[in-house]
Amino acid sequence: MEKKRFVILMAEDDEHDIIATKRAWKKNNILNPLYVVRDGVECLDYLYRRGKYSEPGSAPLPGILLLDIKMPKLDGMAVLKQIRESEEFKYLPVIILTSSKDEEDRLKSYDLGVNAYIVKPVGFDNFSRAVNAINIFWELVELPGDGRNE
Amino acid sequence: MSHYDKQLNILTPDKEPVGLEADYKAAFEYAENILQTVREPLIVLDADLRVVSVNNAFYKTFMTSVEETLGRHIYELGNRQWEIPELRSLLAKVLLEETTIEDFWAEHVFPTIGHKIMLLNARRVYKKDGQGPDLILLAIEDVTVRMQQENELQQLRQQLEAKVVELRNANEELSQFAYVTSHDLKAPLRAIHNYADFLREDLEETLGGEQLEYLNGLTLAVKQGEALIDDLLAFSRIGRLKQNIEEVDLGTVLREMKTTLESTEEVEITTPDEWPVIESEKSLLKQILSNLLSNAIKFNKSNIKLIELGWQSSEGGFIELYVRDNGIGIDSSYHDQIFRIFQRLHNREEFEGTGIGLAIVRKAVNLMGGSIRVESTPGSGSTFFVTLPKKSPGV
Repeated sequence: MEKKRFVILMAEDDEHDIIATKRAWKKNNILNPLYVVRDGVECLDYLYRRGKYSEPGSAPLPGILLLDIKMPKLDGMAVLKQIRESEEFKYLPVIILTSSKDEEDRLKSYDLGVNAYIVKPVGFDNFSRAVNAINIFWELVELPGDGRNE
Repeated sequence: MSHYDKQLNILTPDKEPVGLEADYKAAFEYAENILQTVREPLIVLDADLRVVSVNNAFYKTFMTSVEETLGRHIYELGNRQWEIPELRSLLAKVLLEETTIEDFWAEHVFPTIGHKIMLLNARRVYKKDGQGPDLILLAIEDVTVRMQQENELQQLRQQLEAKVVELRNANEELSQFAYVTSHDLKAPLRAIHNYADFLREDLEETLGGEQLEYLNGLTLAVKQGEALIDDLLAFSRIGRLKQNIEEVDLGTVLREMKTTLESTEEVEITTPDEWPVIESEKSLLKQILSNLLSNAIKFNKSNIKLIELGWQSSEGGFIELYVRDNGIGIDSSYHDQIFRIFQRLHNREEFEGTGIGLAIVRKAVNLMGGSIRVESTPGSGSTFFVTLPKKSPGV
C-alpha cells in the first residue's frame, strides 16, 4: 500500500530560495505538501501549533524539516537544539539546507543531532535535483514509532 | 694673573716651590692641556667642592667666566644654579664612598641656559705622596639636544608605527569589504540567473525574436556578473586563507592540467619529462598555472595552439618556470598593466574575461615569495616567467 505523502516543512527566509524550491517541487512532480515558515520563531510556532498556527489543520505535522541556518529572530541552530531537546520532535528528520560551507556550522549542526547537512547546490538544476533526492531518501527511511504515516 | 698661575696657586697653596717645581709644572701643564682639549665640560673640585679648574667647554656651555668660577664653591656658581639635588648626592657619594660615578643622569632648569639634561661622570683623583688634598674630576656632558633628537626620533617612530597599523587596518578592512560585498552579491545574482532560466524554460517557445534576445542578454549579463564575482572572490581569498604548505610535484600537477586542456581544444602542450618537487601551497600553484595556461589558449588565434612549458633552477634556491605560447602577443607598453586588477586590453566580444586572471596570478606569486614577468611581442606569442622559491618561506 502506498504511503501517505508526508508534509515537508521548510524554514527559509530567502524569498528567492522559496520560489526556487516551489519550482523544484513542480519540476520533479513532488506530491508532498510543502509548508514554508520564514524564521525560527515561526518554525517553532508551527511545530507547537501556536499563534497563527493554533487553528486546527493549519499546521499538519511534518515528515521532514528543511532548515536554513541564517534566519531572523531565531536561527536554525537554536531551532534544531529545541527540537532535539523536546519529547515530541526528537526524532523528526531535520535537514540543514544552507549556503554556509563553514566547518564550524557543519560540526555544530551534527553535534546538535541534525540528520543531514546539505550545502545548497549552485544552479537551479542542481538545487532541484538535490531537493528531489532528499525527498526520495526520506520517503524510504523508517523512524522509531513513525507517526508520519498514521 | 694667568689662568695657569691661579690654578697652580690653588694646587699648591702656601707652599714654597721646591726643587720639583719644574717637574710639577710640566705635569700640570700636561693635565691642563688634556682638560682644555676635551670638548665636554669638565670641572675639577677640591675636597671642599671649590672649583680648582674648569675647561673652556664649561665656560662656553654654561655661559660663565673665569672670575665667576675659579675658587668658588660649586653651589655658589651662577646664583646657586648648580645646587641640584642629584649633583649634591652624587658628589657626597664620591667623597664619602670614594667611588667612581658613571653616566649619572641629571635634569635641571638653569636660570641662564634653561632646561638641560646632563650626563654626569665623576671620579676622585688621588694625589701621590699626599701632595695636597684629593680632587674630584667632574665631567658634565650636555645631552639635551641628543635627548631631544632621540625623543623626536622616538616620537616619529611611534607615529610611523601607528600609521603602519592604521594602514594595515584600513587595508584589511578594504579587503574584508571587497570580500563581503562580492560574497553578498552572489546570492541576488544567482536568483536573477534562476529567474532568467525559469522564464526561458516556460516561455522559450512563445517568445518573439526581440524578447528572446533580451532574455539572452539578461542571461549573458548575469553570467558575466557571476564570473566577475567568482574571480573577485578568488582574488580576495589569496592571502586571506591560511596557507597549507606541502611538497608539490610540479610534474604531476602539470600532467593533470595538460590532459584536461589537450582534450578540449586544438591545443598542443610540450613539457619536459623531469620536473622538480617544490615546497608550496598546492591550490595557489594550481591557480597560477591554470590561469597562465588558459590565457595561453584564450588569447590565441593560431590553428594549433602551441604551448611550451619549461623550467630551470635559478639563484638563491629558486626555480624559474615558463609558459610560452604562439598567441596574439602583448605590446611591451602593456607588460606591467596586464598584471593589474580589472585591466583588459580587449573588449568582451573579442576575448571574454573579467580582467582579474593575471592579477590573481601576480598576487599568488608574490604571496609565495616569487615574482613574475612577461616577454612578448604582438604577433609572435608571449612567454610568462614565474620565479618561485623551492622551499616555502614559511607563512
